[in-house]
Amino acid sequence: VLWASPLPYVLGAVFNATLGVLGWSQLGARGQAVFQPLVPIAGLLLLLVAPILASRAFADEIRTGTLELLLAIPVGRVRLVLGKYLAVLLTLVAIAAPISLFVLLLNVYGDPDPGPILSGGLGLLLLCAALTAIGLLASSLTASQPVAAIGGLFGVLLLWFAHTGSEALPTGAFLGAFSISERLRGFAGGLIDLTDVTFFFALVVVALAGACAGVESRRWR
Amino acid sequence: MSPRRMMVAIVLVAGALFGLYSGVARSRISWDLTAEGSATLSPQTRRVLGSVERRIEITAFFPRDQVGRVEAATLLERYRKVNRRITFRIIDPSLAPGEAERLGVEGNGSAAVQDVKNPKDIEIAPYTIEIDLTSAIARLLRDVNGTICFTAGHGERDSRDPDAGGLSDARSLLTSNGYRSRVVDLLTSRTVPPSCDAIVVAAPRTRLSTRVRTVLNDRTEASGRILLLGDPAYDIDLTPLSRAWGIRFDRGIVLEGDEGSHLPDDVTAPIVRRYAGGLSFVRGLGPTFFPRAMGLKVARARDPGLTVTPVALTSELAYLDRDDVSEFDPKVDGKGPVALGAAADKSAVERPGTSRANIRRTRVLAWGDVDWVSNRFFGDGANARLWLQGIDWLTQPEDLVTAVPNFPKVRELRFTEARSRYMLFLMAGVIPGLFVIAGGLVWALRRGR
Repeated sequence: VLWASPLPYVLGAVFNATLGVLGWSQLGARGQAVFQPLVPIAGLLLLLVAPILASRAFADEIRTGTLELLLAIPVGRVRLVLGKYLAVLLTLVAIAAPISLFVLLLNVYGDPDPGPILSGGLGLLLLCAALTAIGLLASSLTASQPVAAIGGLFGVLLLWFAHTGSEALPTGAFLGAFSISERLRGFAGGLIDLTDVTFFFALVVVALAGACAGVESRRWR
Repeated sequence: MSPRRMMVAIVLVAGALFGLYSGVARSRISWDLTAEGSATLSPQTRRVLGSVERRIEITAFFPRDQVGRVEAATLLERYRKVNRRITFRIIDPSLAPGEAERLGVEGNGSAAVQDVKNPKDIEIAPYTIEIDLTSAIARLLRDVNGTICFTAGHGERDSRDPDAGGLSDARSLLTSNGYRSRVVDLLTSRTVPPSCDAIVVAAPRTRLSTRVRTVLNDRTEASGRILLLGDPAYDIDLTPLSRAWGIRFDRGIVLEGDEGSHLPDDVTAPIVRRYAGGLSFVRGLGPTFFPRAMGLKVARARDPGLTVTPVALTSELAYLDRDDVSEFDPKVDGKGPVALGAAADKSAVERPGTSRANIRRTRVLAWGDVDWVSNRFFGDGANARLWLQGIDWLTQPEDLVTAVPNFPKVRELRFTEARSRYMLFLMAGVIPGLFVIAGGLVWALRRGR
């Protein structure tokens, strides 16, 4: 149903056009076959795309009243949420997949280090997973798609910039640990830190658990 | 599921995840996938960062579109991850010229390392790379800054001379890195002032008197820390100052036979890429450049506590031309590789086994050329870094000298104008266009039903 709406196509076109221009300018300025500068650009663009894409998942069902029908069929809440999650995640990955063409061109025109490409790709995949889960959580809490998109965007922006200015606060180190942009930098540079992988995994689980609770709470109203 | 059970389930899941995360964070497991291991900070850097107990702010200056900005942020992030007392920001100098001036940063790509509590304590990293940043942090951590004394009175290169042959740039670099410098005229002064932490003898042109040699040798015997810069252009032999340390200046001109290891069309200007001895101050150093240099001989040390090592070596194809005939004569000339620098170390533990145990460093550094540190060539290659790190090695504790950088290999992108246009067309035109076409087709199909 997601691909039947114009949303993924529009988002895909905008995402790839922006990534294409920014990525091309970065590689051209460097003159080096490196994947590293593409990762934060793609990450920031995914940050804007994911909440919009995920906003429809539950909010639209709630608005049109079809969520009650969904809840009436004998499917567990967790499976329902996981199903929606995988649908949005796969769509997001499909939108971001053309970044692999950059890798192909880098290999044709240069000799890039495969390590940072692998780690950067894994980092982007984990970021997609986390952003989708947060978007889904926002979507499960409201009947309004724009509110879900804005709420999701607010949440992911908060996490993206969690480290900014955190050092000035007594709880700075704690807040800084939630920064997904800081986590992504390690992947971009070629380092896979198990702590970062666990962080993204935990973020996904917490957000999806929250989404389950959000959906379940509809029954209590 | 009741709200209560739901809450309990969420709390349990969150608790389990927190426990999992804490356990993993303690294990510190990570994989560096880069070919050169450049995504991991060197053990030296980690040691220096481990000793940071006050808040330090690193300000790197990069224009928005400058190459290296992302890499600098990634590197600084690694520093921050190791020690949260270290914070960083990246500023566009064109947007904040006052900030660059306040911190004393001149070039793009440089970084200022500042003590947050004492904002006047600033060290400059010439480039935002590991070796420079770690050295700058190490210098900031030192409570006492050294005084470097340049000898005068025998026609030495002047550390205040801004001309091409002068050493004013070398002196400025020392000053901007927390050292004080002064000139000691050995004609008038009967001793080396005790405030001198290291002495630089930069290619004297007139013979050193016996008294001066004795003054310098006594001082070196007591505490080392002397940097000798000889030069084949002058007749003065500095061997009497270095002989006791197993170093002898070998007169002649080094001629480099390897085409890739000298300046184009100038075999007398060797480029050094090979450093020996495992000395911390040359580990991982980039190419350095020694125009018209003489060689150095390293003798087997008789003193068991003395270690003498050639520092910088030419290629195998170089030789030391002793007879001024540009053809290798095995009977006269010295076969390559030729040592252009040598280091002696007689450091020992004082009062071992007591609570006042201390390492006494008596180190000597000698170079067969003075021009590499002159204003004309100081900015070439890694000459400036070699100079500063050499001084650090003479005067500072080992772990505050420098870091081993894991430099990533430069992987050139063979980008022609046509290829560049093709990439832009494909990535910013064709791919988004395919999304638009696919969307249009779906819309048309749905409308047709």
